[in-house]
Amino acid sequence: MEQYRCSLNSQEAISHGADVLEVDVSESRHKKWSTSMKLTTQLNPQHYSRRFLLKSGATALFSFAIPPSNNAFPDQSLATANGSTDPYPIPWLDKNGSHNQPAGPNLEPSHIYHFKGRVARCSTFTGMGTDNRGNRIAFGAPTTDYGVMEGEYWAARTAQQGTFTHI
Amino acid sequence: MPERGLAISPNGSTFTLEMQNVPVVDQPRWPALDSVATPAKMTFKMVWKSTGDRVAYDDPHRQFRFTGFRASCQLEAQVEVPSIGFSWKSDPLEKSRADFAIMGEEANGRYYE
Repeated sequence: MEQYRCSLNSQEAISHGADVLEVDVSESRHKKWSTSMKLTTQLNPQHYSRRFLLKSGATALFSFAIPPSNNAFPDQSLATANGSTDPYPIPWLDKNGSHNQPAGPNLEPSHIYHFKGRVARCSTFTGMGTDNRGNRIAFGAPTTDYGVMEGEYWAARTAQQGTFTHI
Repeated sequence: MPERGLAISPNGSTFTLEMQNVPVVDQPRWPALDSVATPAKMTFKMVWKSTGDRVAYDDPHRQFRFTGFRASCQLEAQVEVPSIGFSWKSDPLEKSRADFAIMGEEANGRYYE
């Protein structure tokens, strides 16, 4: 009997978000470079001594010698830093590298922590189905559990609203 | 998941979870670490109905409290794994059953008081 483990593809939006962020950083970095070059050529126009030219030349050379990717403090647009709005996992399940457990008596129904709202769980399904070749294949096992959660959860330092399912 | 995927009856006694063409992975050898995951999609409908029997869990150590009801739960689903030309469709909803189901309200973590 085949078993199916299914997980929602929730990373797509996050990946797209990271792409957008990278573009923003890159653009602002370009702005910084153009600003830096402008300052180098305009500073102290009255001090055109050989020493100054040597110093400013060395400074300009030094700034070009550092690739933008090595900059420990890249110039970024101002943004909040409150953490992800993804929900927290249940701590003692997360400790074992798992984010869920089978539904059962006295076991926590929710899959997420810092949560209040409606929840429904079920496990140990029994059922039958048919594949595209006409074979009858059963589904369900003690670990075949499902759940849904709808309500408020705490993340990114504030209350969030969401609906989540585990299938 | 989209909020519209979950419908709750006015008196709260029936939850219906329904989604179409959800991107999932077919991973027959899970939880083996080298289990191959094949892209698949799943359409399903799941219905919880309260039996009226009250259930209450309260665990101060693990900081969660659940109050609700025992329930019946039934499922119908359809799965497709295009890359291997496999599909499977369950019998109608009424033909399935779950040995354990509950539904209600929970508070945990910072909301546990």
